[in-house]
Amino acid sequence: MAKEKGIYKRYGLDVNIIAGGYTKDVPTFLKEGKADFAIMYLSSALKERATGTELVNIGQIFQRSEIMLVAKKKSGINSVQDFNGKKIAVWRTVLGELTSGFFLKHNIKASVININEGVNIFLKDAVDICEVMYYNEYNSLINFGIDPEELNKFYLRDYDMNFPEDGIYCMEQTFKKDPELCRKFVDASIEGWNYAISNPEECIQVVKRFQTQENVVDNKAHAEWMLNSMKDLIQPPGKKVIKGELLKSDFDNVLHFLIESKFIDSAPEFSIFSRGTLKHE
Amino acid sequence: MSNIKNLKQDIFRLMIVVISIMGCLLIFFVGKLVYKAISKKEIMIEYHQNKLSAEARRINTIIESVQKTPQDLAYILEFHNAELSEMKILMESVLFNNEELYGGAIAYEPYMFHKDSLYYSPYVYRRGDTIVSTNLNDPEYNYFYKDWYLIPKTLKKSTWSEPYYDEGGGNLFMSTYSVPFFKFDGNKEKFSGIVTVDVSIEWIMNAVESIGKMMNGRAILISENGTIISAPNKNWIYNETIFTLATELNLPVLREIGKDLQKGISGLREINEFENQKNWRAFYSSIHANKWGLILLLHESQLYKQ
Repeated sequence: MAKEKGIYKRYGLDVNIIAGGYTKDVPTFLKEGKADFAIMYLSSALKERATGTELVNIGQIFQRSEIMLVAKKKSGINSVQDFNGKKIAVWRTVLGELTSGFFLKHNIKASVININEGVNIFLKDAVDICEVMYYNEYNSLINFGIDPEELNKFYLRDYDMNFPEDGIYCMEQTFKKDPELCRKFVDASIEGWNYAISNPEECIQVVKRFQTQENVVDNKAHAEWMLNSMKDLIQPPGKKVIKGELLKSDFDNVLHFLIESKFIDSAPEFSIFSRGTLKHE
Repeated sequence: MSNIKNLKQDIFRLMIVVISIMGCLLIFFVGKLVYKAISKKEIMIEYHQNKLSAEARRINTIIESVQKTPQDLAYILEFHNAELSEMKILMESVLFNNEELYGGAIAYEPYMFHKDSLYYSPYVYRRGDTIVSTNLNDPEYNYFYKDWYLIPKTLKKSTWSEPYYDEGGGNLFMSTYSVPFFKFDGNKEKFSGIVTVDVSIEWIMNAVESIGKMMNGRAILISENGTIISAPNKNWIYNETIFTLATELNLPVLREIGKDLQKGISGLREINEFENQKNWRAFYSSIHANKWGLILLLHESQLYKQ
């Protein structure tokens, strides 16, 4: 909506949005200069930074974890211990560090089936457990005829993994060169989100137009579900955080998890990694 | 006086008898009319149920015949190491003899067909009036993670895919039937690849549209997950499921129909209001081969038009 409503333009920014998806290697886009800014998960960005990509967080949009693992009640999977020996579908290109770390932490020995996206493999009973996002694939299951009471739900946030997700990133060099530009981009993006949440009908119509262009499934029921979920995701009830701010405690939790799961040995200081606009005001 | 009194009593009795007989006759004729109307309604309901079941069986037969070809091909590949030219000829003849098919592939496991080829999947498909071939070996397409490959591989059994837009493959809306094949490596059967055939959704849409017209109603075809494959409202196709429509149109009965069809149950339900008109009926029939469902929405006024 920031682009659609001319908010970026008002901030003096000429923005071209590149559609994402599992086929896009986001850090490469930043490294090769094909994109100035990108959306990444906090855990993935920290892992990338620890392995040498000099990217920085300039705004944390989603403030809590929405990742779930779901199983059909009829499968008899009632606890995390029941995951042992089962087939679990997880995304192959994103957030592998979180699911692998989760399995390691709970000593789960399961057969992991890597998937691109979607829930068809779960609906066809080819796997017992499936990774989903509450604001997206979970509702797809409902839209494909599964009733909520037919599922056992395991939210990662209930297992000490309430890690914030989508944030805005750029290369450290981009930030150093023009911190004002970065601040404007984050502020305008947050204004765009605010507009979307306050004007749901208009936002859904705009999204529908893009979905049609990209041959992506679009229906109002799902679009409304997703947009309704965003408010709590950007500003979770009870969490003391300003929109766009990356809390040091969240950074520390993710870092600790990644080191404990042996995905990284070390990472930069919070002050180097987080260049959030609010810190510089 | 007593004679007059007796006469009055006789007339009164006669009148009671006459009125009783007339009342009985009236009840009999009204009852008969009501019975006729009810039985006519029942007959018409049964007629529509049977007619829809027959159409569902017809689609089922076509789908079963589509399944047979890749099953035969998979069987051949388990015992015979086919050359590329042979595979192409086989696939081309499959398309040539089955007009409802759009394309077909033989997709191998990594390095299974050729020791240097990670991806190897000859694909034959229609382009206009001709049949052309390609190899689905683009790393960006990466067929190993496509539903049509991964699900039957994991299940080790044949499956129908949900309808999808095959970007980089067939580049149209289709549903794919996949049959896994295995080769004996001296010790055990080893999963070696998938044989597929693609059915164009357009072809199915035309068939369902004709059913709707013939039965004076709205014919809808849904997939196993409830995705709308064919419907008079073109915007619903691929975008909506019977379950999203239940939410958007505030018709919980549609969710019940979808759930029934997923269990292979056929039936009839009443819909109070649809398209601003009251009194609709939803006849639905399961297509057993791929767990799809055929639904006919019929307004009361159309019930007797057959």
